[in-house]
Amino acid sequence: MSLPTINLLKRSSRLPPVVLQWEKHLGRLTIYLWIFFLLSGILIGTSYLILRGRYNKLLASKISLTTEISNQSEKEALFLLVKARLNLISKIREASWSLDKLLAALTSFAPASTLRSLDGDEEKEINVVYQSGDLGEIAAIIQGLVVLSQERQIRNPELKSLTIAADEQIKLTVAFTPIL
Amino acid sequence: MFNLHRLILFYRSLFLTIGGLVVSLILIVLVLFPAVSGLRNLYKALPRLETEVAELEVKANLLAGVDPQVLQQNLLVLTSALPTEKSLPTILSTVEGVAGKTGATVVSIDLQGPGSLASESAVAHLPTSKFPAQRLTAEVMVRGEVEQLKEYLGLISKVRRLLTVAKFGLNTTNPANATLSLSVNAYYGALTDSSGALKLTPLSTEEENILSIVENLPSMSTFALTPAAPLGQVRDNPFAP
Repeated sequence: MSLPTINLLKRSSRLPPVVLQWEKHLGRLTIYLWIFFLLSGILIGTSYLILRGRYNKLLASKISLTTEISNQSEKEALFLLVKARLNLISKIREASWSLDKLLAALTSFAPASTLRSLDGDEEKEINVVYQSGDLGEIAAIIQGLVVLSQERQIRNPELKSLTIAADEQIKLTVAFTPIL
Repeated sequence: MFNLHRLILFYRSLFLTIGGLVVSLILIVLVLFPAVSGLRNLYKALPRLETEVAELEVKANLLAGVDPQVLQQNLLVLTSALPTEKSLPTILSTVEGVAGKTGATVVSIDLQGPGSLASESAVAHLPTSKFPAQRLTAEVMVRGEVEQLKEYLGLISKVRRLLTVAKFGLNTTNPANATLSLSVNAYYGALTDSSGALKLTPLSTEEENILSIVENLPSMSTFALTPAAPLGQVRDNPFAP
């Protein structure tokens, strides 16, 4: 026959209601956080795998293309040299003026015999001296310069001097800047 | 000890709940946040890599489509217009050549400060200027009939060797023996290679036009430039003829 035992501790006890309320809220919050963690983990993991796959593919393409290009380094160097040269030549050509067009324009309205001198400086200002015994020719030259100005082939046309010598020779000095 | 054990037993479920909460928060902070940061970095890196690959594709396709022989020929044409060195003979022969073509006579040529005769690679480079090409100025005096001198003036800047007229003075007081004084700039510049640049664009229409113009310009110089040795090829015996 077994001896009788006495358990002085309560087998179950109830928590105070406030603590129970807190426990309930915290339990719910914990579940939400775990769900959030798991769902976010799945989402982030999936996204990472997709992006990483794409990244690796691109990286492989980059390595392959880089190898392909480095095998053609001679061509690349030549191509870049040609481009650099063209760039330089383009800049020099932009800075230069085409005198054949200017000469063609200047002689289009004035007989060649009237041209006495033609000067151009680095500021691209042109000075022209015409001389003729015929006032009509000189008038035609002035008119021609006006037309060139109106056609925007020259700018700032300026009549520097107009002299009539004792031998009835008329000397006309004009200055302008060509836009040619 | 007895009291602590009792307390733990009493609040067991509450402790478990708090423990679960703390663990979930730690996981979020230590796992989720870094993972989000990594994902964001990857997301940012992708467009950059895509752009690089696209540019490399363009470059590879471009290089696959060009013929090195054609490029060498183009470079030869362009260096005949803009030599790598001062190339005084080409300046003098071009000035003379244009006179020969127009029938005028060159009275004098005065090269201003031709300087060192060493090759460009042997000359210490000056600090980079705004204009990448260097120039030599030649003062030229030409005599002839007015029409010849006009033709000379028009032609001198339309020849293969790149020359530009800085100043000029045409005196036609005596039409049969007129004089033309010119200040001509002759350009030269070292070949600059920027190989390895990621971006490589095909020749633009403007560049192709310039190439075509230069190709079609008459070469007045009697000094022909020899083709440059292909890059990357090394002769076995550099002293062999």
